[in-house]
Amino acid sequence: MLVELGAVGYTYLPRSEAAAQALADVSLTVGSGEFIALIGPTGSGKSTLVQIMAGLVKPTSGRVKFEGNDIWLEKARLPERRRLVGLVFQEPEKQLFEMTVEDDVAFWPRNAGVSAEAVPEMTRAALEAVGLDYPSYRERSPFTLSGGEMRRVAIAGIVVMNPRVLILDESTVGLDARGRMDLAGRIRALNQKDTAIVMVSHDMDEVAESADRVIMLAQGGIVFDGPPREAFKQTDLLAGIDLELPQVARIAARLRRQGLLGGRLPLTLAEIESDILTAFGKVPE
Amino acid sequence: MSIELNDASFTYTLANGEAIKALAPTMLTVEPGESVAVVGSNGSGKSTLAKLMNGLLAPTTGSVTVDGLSTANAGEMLLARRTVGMVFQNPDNQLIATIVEDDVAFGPENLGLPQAEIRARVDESLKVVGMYEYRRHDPHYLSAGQRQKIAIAGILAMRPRYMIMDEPTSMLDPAGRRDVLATLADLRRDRSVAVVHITHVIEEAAHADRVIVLKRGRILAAGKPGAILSDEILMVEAGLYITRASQLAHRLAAKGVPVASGLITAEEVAEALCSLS
Ligand SMILES: Nc1ncnc2c1ncn2[C@@H]1O[C@H](COP(=O)(O)OP(=O)(O)OP(=O)(O)O)[C@@H](O)[C@H]1O
Ligand SMILES: Nc1ncnc2c1ncn2[C@@H]1O[C@H](COP(=O)(O)OP(=O)(O)OP(=O)(O)O)[C@@H](O)[C@H]1O
Ligand SMILES: [Mg+2]
Ligand SMILES: [Mg+2]
Repeated sequence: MLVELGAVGYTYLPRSEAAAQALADVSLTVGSGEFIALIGPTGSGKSTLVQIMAGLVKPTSGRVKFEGNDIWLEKARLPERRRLVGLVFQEPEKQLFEMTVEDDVAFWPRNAGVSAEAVPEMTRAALEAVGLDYPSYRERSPFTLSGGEMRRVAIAGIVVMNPRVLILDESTVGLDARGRMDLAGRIRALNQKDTAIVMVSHDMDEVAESADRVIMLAQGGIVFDGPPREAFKQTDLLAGIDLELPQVARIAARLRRQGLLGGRLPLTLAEIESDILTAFGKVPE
Repeated sequence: MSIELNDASFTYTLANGEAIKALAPTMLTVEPGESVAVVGSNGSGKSTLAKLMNGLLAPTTGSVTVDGLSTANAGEMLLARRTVGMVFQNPDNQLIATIVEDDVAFGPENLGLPQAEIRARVDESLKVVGMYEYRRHDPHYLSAGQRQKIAIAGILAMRPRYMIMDEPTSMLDPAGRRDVLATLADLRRDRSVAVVHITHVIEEAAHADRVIVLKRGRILAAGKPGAILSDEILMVEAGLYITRASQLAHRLAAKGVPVASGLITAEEVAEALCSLS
């Protein structure tokens, strides 16, 4: 297992009046090549959980293991072990801190012993992969960028690390539709090369189309862990925590109530298209 | 009464002197009670347009007026700001106080309202966004979605005539997003509030009366959501895309299922299909 959480709990501001338990008794594993979507309502503990999974926050209880090693036992080896996991923060402003876009994206390569000659090329490739033209953006201050441009720089700065586990905390938020599709494609390609992906998202279509495992969080605990098709069948569970179905599944649900569709719950466009064509007596391809 | 951009343009100047033309000279009028969605690719000028409308930026050329007050004039701009509320793309730019209810009270206090009125508005706004139970918390110690809700409550409590919302639901869960859209619709109907809603979620833009598509700082198209948001060629030209529901409708129509064009949301497409049977 790449990452293993055992009975993890987390309380913000412990020992204070405002103490807030954000996570309780969370256990999960992330294996090589998995594509996990982490979903749950506002405040359910998603960002807290992924910061613990990335080894950036120490849980108040429980264990965190990277490749079998308890990362908080040997503090001296923590920096090196953290390289296993790359986390793109929910808010890019909290991740960008250098004076220029180039320095921000080059931060990891420079600190991970990449040869000085190779760094500019790596930086250029990482920026172009997120759709930013290297010559026009390299000298810009991250804080003069538009929201979506900032988001792209933040993603580039983590993807350039080529981590074995890539965690994206609502990283498609603020991207335009083209940017979202491009990012989805890149993530899928990385996943095919065995990078484990953990994607936090409120976009159920994105989840249905890409993940092969869905973990649902509610009030700091895991309430479901299984394949997307099973996840979106849990209508009571979903309604209970106010999550909605993907667009395709919402259309299908309405057509089922009308008696127009039966059988499987389609999750992708291709699936529902062929189901509807059959129902309307047209021949799907 | 209206917000008017009269050939208003905006150019940023970087530290090294380089000029970035974020908005070309633009004509635009927003009237009370109207809802206008603004869509466009990253860097197309949406946030710049928003900041011109609330007077945070003064136009480089042309003029912007709010109910006749010019935002280029410091005194008039301060008056104009009282009627234009803005939710920023990054809610952290907006959190001022260390207690949620003080933060939400900040706007109404600046309007010089009586204490009892402020109290009532703060409580009401926090309840609307579902954050009343967090009123004594420090907003900096909340989840991202919770912070975004506080920023929205702050604007609701000001009850401005114009609300400029820059991706206000980007960090909310589906229920939170629905609640915000419903609240905005109520405000338009009951209090004739104008809403300018910037969004990357095309389904959200479908609820507006009018959609404006920006591309590289220019208005590429404007009109009814049905005509614009399901137009695949136009949307791709703008660097955007149509919804999955629109894609499905187009594919079915191409295969001989008589679904109308101009459908955007999953619910619209589902109803259209049900009515065929
Ligand atoms: N810095 C903090 N200090 C104290 N409490 C916090 C802090 N950050 C988050 N919390 C609380 O912990 C809980 C979980 O927060 P978290 O940010 O993990 O939620 P989330 O699922 O990521 O939510 P969102 O969808 O809004 O991003 C929330 O109830 C929140 O109020
Ligand atoms: N403070 C600034 N200084 C210099 N240039 C800026 C500044 N803010 C924005 N820009 C530039 O102006 C252009 C328009 O930016 P704006 O923030 O208006 O875009 P946007 O449409 O809101 O994009 P997004 O969808 O990414 O939020 C972009 O090219 C951006 O890089
Ligand atoms: Mg979060
Ligand atoms: Mg913007």
